[in-house]
Amino acid sequence: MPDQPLSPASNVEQTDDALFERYRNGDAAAFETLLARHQSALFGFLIRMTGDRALAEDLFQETWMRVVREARRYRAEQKFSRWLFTIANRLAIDELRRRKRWRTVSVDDEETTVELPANGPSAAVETERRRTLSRIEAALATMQPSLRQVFLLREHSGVSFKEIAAMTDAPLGTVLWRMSAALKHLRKELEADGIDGVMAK
Amino acid sequence: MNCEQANEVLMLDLYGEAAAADVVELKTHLAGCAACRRAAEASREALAEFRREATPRPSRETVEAVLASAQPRPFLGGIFAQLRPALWQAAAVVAIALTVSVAVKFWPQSPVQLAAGTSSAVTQPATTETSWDTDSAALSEHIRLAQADVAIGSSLDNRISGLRDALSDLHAGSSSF
Repeated sequence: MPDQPLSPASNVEQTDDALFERYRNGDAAAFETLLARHQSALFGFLIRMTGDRALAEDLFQETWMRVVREARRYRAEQKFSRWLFTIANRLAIDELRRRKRWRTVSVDDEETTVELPANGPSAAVETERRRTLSRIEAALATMQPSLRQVFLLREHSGVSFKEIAAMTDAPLGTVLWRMSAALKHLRKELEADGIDGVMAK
Repeated sequence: MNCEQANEVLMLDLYGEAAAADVVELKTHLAGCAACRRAAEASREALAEFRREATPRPSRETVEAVLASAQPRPFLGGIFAQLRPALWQAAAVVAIALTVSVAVKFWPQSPVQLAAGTSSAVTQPATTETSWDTDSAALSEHIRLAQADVAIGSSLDNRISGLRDALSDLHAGSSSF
């Protein structure tokens, strides 16, 4: 992976809000710092949410373009990272819905694994793809999207469970249950993949 | 705390969001519940495993495309933000000038009356013409009243001083016992 642009030293200590305000006043370097600061977490969220690198690249670009377009509507009392991930989350879900790969799961649902779409890649291609993907990526690929969403938002965006509840229009209890179910699924997949250690005991 | 509640607090605790009192209760629950203890341990392991994975990064082309599309185009908000200090200063100067000019035009009081704090309705003749003699008399009256106040103040000071002395004497007397 090539090196990404480095953030200018003078911007390192500044808050996201301060940087974004500077960008709104015409400072391109401030935007570059913001991008460098969030690109890894945001792209990680998108690629793991969609399981598709090309799509994740498109959504990544679209998310930042929305940030630029809607800069005037941004309010400083919002947390920048929450705003950024709210945009990315909406775009990802819209895309998954469009591709009929989105379904919410309720607390009563026991089964949290999703079948791969019928019109998706063939079994052989899928097997090959799975070989190349890491164990974690494979575990995420079979996770229910609404569980994956909560898990990835908490891991990548750094926003609290309460904020995720607001972002996803779900009660806090449901969000915590989805997180727990996501971890349970992850454990199960890792155990099935022969990961030893504490989980196998 | 039951197992379901313990599970919720565990999720919050994994990210440092649980209240301290809830964490204490969780620990108590885990100490007595083998199933929850195993689940908690496995959750922490799974998270650690996930975090060991390198996070994918966007391609250089994508990053460059984002930077190109984000070239700042200062809009009116930005321009106003830069001009704001100068605009506020200009507005303050205009407001002060307006206030002074209105006061001078519509406030028919002499400077002496303003200084003495007397009302124009009481001291001014019905003709509303400014009389410097009247002003001078009013000022003299205020000075006389102020001097009387000072005299009363001095008298009070003397009394307080006397009381202080008496109190000191009293203290001195009581300490000698």
